[in-house]
Amino acid sequence: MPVLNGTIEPEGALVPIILGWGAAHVALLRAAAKAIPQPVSAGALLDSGAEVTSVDPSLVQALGLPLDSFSLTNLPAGGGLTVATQYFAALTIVHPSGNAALNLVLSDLLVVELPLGPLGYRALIGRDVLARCRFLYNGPRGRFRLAY
Amino acid sequence: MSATANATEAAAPNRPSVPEEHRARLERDFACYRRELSRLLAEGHGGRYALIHDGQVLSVWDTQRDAMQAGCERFGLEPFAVNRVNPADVERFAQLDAGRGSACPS
Repeated sequence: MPVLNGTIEPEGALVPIILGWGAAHVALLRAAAKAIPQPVSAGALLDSGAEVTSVDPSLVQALGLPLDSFSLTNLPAGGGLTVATQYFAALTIVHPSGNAALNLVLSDLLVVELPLGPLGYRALIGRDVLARCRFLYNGPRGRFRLAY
Repeated sequence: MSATANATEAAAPNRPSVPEEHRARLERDFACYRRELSRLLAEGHGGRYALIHDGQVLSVWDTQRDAMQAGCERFGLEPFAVNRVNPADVERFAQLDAGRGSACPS
């Protein structure tokens, strides 16, 4: 089981991510000989208070992510219960070792659009992803540990 | 006013901004999700993922990935919707209708 160890930053437990189009949609683009948008790197906060994973509109726009649906979502960082817009995406949490085999890859994931830019990160990793992980937040030591 | 319009208007402070050409499709599919939610829950689909197209639930899948792949196989790059059948949404729709959209239980 890969383990990602990190230092708790002033913003919280931050991890590097790569966001891109989901595998199912990428396969369609390939079959249609259409250009595949280049995935985008960003910082993300591990947020056990967020029901679902959300991303800043700047990422949605940069990638031109395929639009999914409206959804009812409880995102305390976004003001609580809200009607949000969902997109189809792929999300990778990048292991700091640089060994891609240790990355957490979610090749088809629904993400919610939420303005986050001013907070210092561009994505929240919510409980939909954390449900697959063991997440230890060691406040006294200023460290966190994510196993998946 | 439709049920969906009620829900989105009640959440007006956070109402999502989407291109106008997509709004009708999104609201139609969201209205479908709301309309079918009770039935889907009664049939034991809570926690699963509904594939919705043109205002109709077409199928229900165990995972997001399965629903997304099914949608892509059937519709290609044409828009479709995948919604989690969330038991909490029954109460959430009621909250939004009551104009308490900013309530946060956490």
